[in-house]
Amino acid sequence: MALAEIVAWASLRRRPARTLFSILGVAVGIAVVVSIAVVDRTTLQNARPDRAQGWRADLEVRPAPGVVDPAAELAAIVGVERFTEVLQGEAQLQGVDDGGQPAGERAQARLIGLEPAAFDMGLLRLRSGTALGAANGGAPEVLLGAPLADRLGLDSGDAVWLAPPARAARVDCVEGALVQQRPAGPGPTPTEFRVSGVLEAEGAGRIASGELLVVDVSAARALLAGQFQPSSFWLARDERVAPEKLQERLVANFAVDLRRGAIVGQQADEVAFRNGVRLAGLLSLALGLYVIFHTLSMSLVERAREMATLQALGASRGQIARIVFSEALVIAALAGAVGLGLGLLLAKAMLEAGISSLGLTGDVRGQFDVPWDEVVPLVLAGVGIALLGSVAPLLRARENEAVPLLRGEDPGAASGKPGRGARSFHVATLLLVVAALPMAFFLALPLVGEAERQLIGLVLLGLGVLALLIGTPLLVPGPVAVLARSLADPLRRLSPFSGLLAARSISLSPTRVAASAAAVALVTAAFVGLRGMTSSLALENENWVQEGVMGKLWVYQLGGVPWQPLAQELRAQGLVQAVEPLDARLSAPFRVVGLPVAELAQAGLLAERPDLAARLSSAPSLVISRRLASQKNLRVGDQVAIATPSSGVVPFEVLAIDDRHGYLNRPHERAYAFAASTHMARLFCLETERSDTLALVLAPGADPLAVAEATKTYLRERGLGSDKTGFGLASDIATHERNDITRDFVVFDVILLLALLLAGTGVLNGLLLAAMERAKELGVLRALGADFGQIARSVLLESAFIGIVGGTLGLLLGLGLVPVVVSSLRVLSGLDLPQPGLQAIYLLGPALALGISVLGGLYPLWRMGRTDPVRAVRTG
Amino acid sequence: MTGQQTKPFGRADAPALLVRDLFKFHGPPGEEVGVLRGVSFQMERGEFLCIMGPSGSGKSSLLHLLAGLDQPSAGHIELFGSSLAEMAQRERTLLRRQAVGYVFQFFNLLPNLTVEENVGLPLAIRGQRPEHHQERIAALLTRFGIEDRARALPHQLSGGQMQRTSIARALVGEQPLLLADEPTGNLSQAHGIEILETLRRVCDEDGRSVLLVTHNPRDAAYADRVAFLVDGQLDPDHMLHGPGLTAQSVHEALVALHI
Ligand SMILES: Nc1ncnc2c1ncn2[C@@H]1O[C@H](COP(=O)(O)OP(=O)(O)OP(=O)(O)O)[C@@H](O)[C@H]1O
Ligand SMILES: [Mg+2]
Repeated sequence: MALAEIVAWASLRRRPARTLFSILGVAVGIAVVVSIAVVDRTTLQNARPDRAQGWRADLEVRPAPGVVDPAAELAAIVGVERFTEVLQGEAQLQGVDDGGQPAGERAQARLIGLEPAAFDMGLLRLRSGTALGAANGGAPEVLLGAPLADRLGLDSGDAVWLAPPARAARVDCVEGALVQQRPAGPGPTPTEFRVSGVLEAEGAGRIASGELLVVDVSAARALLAGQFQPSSFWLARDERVAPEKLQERLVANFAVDLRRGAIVGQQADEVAFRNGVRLAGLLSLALGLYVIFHTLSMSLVERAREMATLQALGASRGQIARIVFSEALVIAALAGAVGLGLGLLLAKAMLEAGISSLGLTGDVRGQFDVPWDEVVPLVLAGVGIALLGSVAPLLRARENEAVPLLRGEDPGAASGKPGRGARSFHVATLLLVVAALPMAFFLALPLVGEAERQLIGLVLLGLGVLALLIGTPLLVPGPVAVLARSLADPLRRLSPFSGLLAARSISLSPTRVAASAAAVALVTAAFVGLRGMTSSLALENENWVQEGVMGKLWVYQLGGVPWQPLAQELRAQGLVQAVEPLDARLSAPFRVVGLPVAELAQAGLLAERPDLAARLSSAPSLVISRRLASQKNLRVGDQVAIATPSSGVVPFEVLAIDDRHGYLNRPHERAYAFAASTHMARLFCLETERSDTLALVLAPGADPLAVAEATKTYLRERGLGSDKTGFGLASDIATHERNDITRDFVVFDVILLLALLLAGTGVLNGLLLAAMERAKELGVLRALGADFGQIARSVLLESAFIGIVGGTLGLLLGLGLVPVVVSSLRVLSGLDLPQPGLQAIYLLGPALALGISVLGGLYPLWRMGRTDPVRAVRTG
Repeated sequence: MTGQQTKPFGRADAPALLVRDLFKFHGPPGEEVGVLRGVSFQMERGEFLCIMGPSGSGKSSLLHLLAGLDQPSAGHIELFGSSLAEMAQRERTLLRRQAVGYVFQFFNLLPNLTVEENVGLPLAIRGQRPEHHQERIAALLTRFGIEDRARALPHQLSGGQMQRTSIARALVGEQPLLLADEPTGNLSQAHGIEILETLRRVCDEDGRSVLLVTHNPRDAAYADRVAFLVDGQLDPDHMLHGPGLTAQSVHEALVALHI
């Protein structure tokens, strides 16, 4: 065997505990990040099954009236990557025989006119043939949907005739009435087209079940002349821009239909959540690598004398570096493999438990998608940094520092007073942790959406705090030493001998103690920060629950009963103040419910503000919920353009921001708005007299169960309702929504737990190395008559010291972190998050810190108990 | 120990060691203590030189300087014609690897390596494979009576066994200069004699040079020449050599010098 193998292998094999815990430290760090990447990818792939069929462009918009050149407007909007004008109508299709005469079956199909950009947007996939070419003199070209082409026996190169339909049968809503639209102008004249290709039955090729003709937009305009043509645009969004942001920019000139299903994980709140998971991952990674770095570098300090001996025997620095490197390579590579395996297992377990990067959901159960493109670089980064951590201390070893070690001086004594070399080493650690690491991390796992820019300041702030935390004790071990000295007296009083030993050990290696304490502090801070975040979310939720949920009763699946008589009856019984029929609603651009103004005027917002009632009735206008206002960045006085079937785009003015009316729990959506039902009926032909779903605004003091009984009686007596009719209690909904937050944040708790494990490993490694470093000293003490209990107490005192210092620092840091976390979440999610005050639960953080530190002291203790004092004294 | 060295190491006409006006100060700036204050001597190839001196007189410090492990505060050291001061660190390392075998006062065995692995270390450092030189290693272990401890780890050894391992490690590389810092301090009479006879043979048969530091007049008597390090200098007047060099004469010199 060569030198490197002899020495490295011997040290790995004959120090199994050190090897094992080093591997464990690195592996857990890697496992955390790997599991986050896997869970996130799996979540995105599976959380919404409709994602796979999301055939449409990211957004469909219609220009508002008065916009002269919509294409130019769109081109100028940041976040619109590509777009195509879309014309849709119906057309007739017939094959052409060799003689140029129409032959075979005639079919009617959906005609779509698109610009060439549609092909770049990936909306169309060809099964055969080529994309639409420029009509260069010859016949214009057409693409056929696969079922249509198969049925008519047509393929690329065939000639076809296209004509407008004999009658365009179309029903539209005009001023509250459904009207048959008939085309004006002359009868259809067929035009000859050449089939340039057949579309795959995916993407836009699924429109109209594939009974589809796609032509250039100009050809479509000619064919559809005289037909009702809503001109619209399909947009491809720049991935880096959040859909909500884009929508905000579009809303001035366009009516927007956001295709929610097509972009799972891209909604603002989802983005916030996923980014939160990623940041938590970053934290664990930082912590993991910090632990790795210190474990490996401390173990080298311990072995400084060996290295000095090798130098004295003529080993060059290169040879020594190779020894250390081979050893680190084995540790890092094994840790990489173990970490990868552990991470995949962990991800599997999390997914099985329904934990996704979007909270708890059953959608991910049984799913498992490994993003190797992210996982492999992450594992390699972990391995790389572990290698760096082990090699870095070598760089500072200088030849003439070897002599004191060869003379038998204690390496621990040398590390107690870090010289310039040690200091620059810590600066390097620091830079690595706070700069290189996040960069590497975000390269591998970029934050979702447009958040980067807004977040960067906050992330930097957070990292600054982190740097301060890690940096201060490392660069200035003085404070730790001073703290230890000032603690020495009380400790000694606590236990004269053990206290003295602990205080000495702390003040002799302040760097090691500070590093362990910093790791503990980091987890504590994360715990406090996370609790602050959930408290804030809970508070925000609570505010909404009080306004939008409490004091109401929901009735579902009535089967379309006239709601007014019911309202009168319940009001007469003194049970109900007002009734909100919730069925007259739109879902684009967001949920808008048409509510009867006269009914709402009985209680709540409109009772307080009669002026609003008047304005809601007089013109199309909205009252929007706070969540909607902050998500869409809407203010009172803003105009929201909403596309109507026949009246073009109608501007709705935002009159007020209020949560009290319009919340519907099935499906749950906190971004909602209401308009006067009269306008909804007129513009969208929605049914407003009968309703399937009601929200009853209860009279003060009314018992919801009694109201439910009364409602049931009313329905029964008149033979209304159905056996499916059900009730939703405000208290149930409130509880559900409250629990939702806690449940969703389980994923953070899991990550935190892992981080805690890491910090514990760090403390353990530190104390273990210290125990080995001091094996001789401890052996001598035992030989001089100190019993194991005394030494054990000193180790526990030291680990408690680490826990208390780390916990206190972490608590303070966490308290500073909470406002940062909350405001970054506010930016990310568009939620109107309040700053939580001091929470009692924060104190659990330092308590956990103390617990994990003391636990970390147990193994080294056990090891010391097993150390043979004779052997310790004999070791030269 | 496998016959005469065929080619002389370094510059053929140069002595094994040349030291001129060597100074070494220890301690923080401003409070330096001069340990070596103008040491000069020369050592021929194949010579066995012994340096004696009171505890703390700077003997170990001198050996560290000669091996290029430490930097002198002033002065000149030449090993086989090469001046240490003019060499880069890497060259010094290579010279040490090729030319110097070192027995440390405090053994400095690698705690994770067995006795035979520790002994094979200088070969491995040169890029040779110790398993190809198993016979040479085994012969050394047998000569020093530790062949049955070949697979033991250092903490399983007695002090004398550690010392003998350390000496075997210094000899295995067959370097032309051997620096031995109190190699017999922990050894019984018989083992001490075995070591000294080995060192004597190394000079006589292989033409290698040995610099021995010891407190023991009996050991010193094996040398060709004995020098005394007193007050930071090697006193040329009290150098012992030739037929007058016996354990008795060394003892008398020590008494005379109050060592
Ligand atoms: N790094 C150092 N810093 C300060 N003083 C030192 C240092 N190294 C050695 N000394 C001092 O230099 C003097 C010479 O030390 P050295 O080890 O060379 O003595 P020695 O002659 O080998 O003694 P011994 O026979 O006891 O081994 C001693 O007084 C020692 O305290
Ligand atoms: Mg000495």
